[in-house]
Amino acid sequence: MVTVARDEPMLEIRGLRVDLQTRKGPLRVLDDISLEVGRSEVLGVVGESGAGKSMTGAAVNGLLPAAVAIAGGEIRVNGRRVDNLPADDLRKMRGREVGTIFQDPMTSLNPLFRVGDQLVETMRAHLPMSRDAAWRRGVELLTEVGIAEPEQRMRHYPHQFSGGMRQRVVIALALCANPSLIIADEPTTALDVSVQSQILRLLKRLSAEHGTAIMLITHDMGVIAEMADRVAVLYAGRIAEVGPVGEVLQRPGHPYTEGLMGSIPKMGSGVPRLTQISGSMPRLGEVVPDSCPFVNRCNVSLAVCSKARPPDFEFGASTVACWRHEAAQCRAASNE
Amino acid sequence: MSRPSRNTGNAGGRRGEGRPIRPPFLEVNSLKLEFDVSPPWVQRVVSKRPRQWLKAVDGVDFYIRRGSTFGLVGESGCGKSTLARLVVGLYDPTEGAVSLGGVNLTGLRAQGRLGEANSKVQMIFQDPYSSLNPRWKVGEIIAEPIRMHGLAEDESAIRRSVVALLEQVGLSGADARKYPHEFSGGQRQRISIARALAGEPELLICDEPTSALDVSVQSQILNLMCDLRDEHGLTMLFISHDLPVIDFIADEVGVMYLGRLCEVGTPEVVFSRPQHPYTRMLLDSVPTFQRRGHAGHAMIGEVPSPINPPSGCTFHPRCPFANERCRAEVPALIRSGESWVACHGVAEGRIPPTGPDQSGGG
Repeated sequence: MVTVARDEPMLEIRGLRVDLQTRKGPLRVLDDISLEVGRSEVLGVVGESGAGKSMTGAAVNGLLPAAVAIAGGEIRVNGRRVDNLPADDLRKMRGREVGTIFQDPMTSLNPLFRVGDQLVETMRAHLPMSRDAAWRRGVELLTEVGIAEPEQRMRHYPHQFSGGMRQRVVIALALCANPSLIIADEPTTALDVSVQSQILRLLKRLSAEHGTAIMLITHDMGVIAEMADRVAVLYAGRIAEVGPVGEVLQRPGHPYTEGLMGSIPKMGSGVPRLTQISGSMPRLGEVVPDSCPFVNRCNVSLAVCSKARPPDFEFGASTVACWRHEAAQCRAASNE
Repeated sequence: MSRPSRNTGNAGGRRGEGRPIRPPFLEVNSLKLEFDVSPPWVQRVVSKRPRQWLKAVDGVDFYIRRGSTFGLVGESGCGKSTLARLVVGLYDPTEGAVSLGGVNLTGLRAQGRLGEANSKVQMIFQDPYSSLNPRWKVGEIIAEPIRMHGLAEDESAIRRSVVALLEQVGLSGADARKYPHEFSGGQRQRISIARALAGEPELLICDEPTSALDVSVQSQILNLMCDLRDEHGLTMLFISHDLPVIDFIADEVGVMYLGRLCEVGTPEVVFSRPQHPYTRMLLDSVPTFQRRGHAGHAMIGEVPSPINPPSGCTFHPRCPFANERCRAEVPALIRSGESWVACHGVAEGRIPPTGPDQSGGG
């Protein structure tokens, strides 16, 4: 066991750059991503499709697609660098230190094996355990994720479970070896709202009880609002804004986050029209390196926005990559 | 049945009630659809297995007034999409009828006069990838309903209307020469909308039209649909599992559970003062920042199989208020306050009215 200093983050990403190799040269998928997730903390990662949410998760657990590779930066899990590990060590890390929950539970479960056998195999691959002990722990895990009659359910095949129950099994699988970090990539997108709230509550409880850090990747701001402690808003492979969830959702610092929050219909608001962000997110390779990727859709852009990439500015408790905050900080400084 | 009512504040969603100004346009009367899901004949004979029926839609009544939007919500598998397909005529009902402006569409279809029945109804599907033919140019896709229903005199008139339609949905006339794969999800959904409008419909059925889109694109499409609805005076049946979306777009909302409507009313009333226990549960499960930390009433269980649905009120296994009567007797949709509710508990007054902890609406 690696002993962890109290304040050391479970996951630390510094200046991560990820490239997609094409015949015409590399395209930047992720550009200078820096994130931290602490013990028992849920970090939400949101963004539109293609913003790089899933790629960030895949970079951490070493599951990037073949043509995509890390081009720079560092990833540390529990203080240990993992971005340069050989394939064998990565395989040992996955499941042991980093558990993963994907959107579709059937892609994580083998339809030909009993759920219990899959749990036992995963545990024994990572921990020195006898078959019997692993089976007993499997029963405990199924109970913990809220599956009734766990002894019988251990002997069932995945197809005998409903969608929500399957996702619970996947969560049990991710928890098997007591990982310090769980990457949940759209864990409830394939589920109904009623089942979604059950699964989210379960994840939140497990994270609090086991001290597990969770990186929750989703496009659903509602899920973020309910689950996350902090949230990172990704846009075109860069971080637009990171901060405590209350700050980012209720007092967004980046015009993109603001537009995004306004474009979500809210219950009982009675508005005749939704705020909309015109246009769409630039595709891979369309972002001008020395500019803000949001500049073409932004209605408060400055001259500097298309000339230089905005660095991170502090805004309340958040960090925002938007040139507007430079002006604000200058004004604050001159007033003092 | 339509007693003259001065009570114009009552925006009821059911037959025989409501404002005298606009008569019902789409009427759905005790619509039922059963699918035969029996095991193959050999198995039935050999292992003595009985025939099985799946009741996808089990006696649904509602109407939509001309120019208004009816939202349908519920979990997956509750029959929302099947109901939409019945209204469009993609399925023939086992029982009941659909009529549009007083014309019985089900009857027309039975006589094989499908074209006549269908010209006034168009549909927009959830998946903008599978609902457009990848081998057709966008111009051809949009021109097809115009040709099919003979809505333009010659080719140049067709081309002109295609360009006009593309511009109406926020694309450019030059896009007519492109193929669907050249467009993003949001743009494809705009093409679907243009195709639906090309048939000059009076009733538009939208089956989760924004569920596959990102929120920023969803807001563009929802605003566009509102504009087009007002411009063309469209009547809409809008299906979504997303309650805030329905709250935004619909004038009236129907909550569906296992093939039946369990609560009907205006979104303001249904979402702020829900009466049916299922509606309450659905509202409680919408994640919001305000409700963060509240335990709320956690949703219990999942939708049961419609093949052998629970007896009586099909919601009783998940309902905290269920009693013997609920397990035995099917509740009818009856007037309750400003809405229509199918619940014995509400009718008997045993379920307390929505308390202060229900913060579903404004």
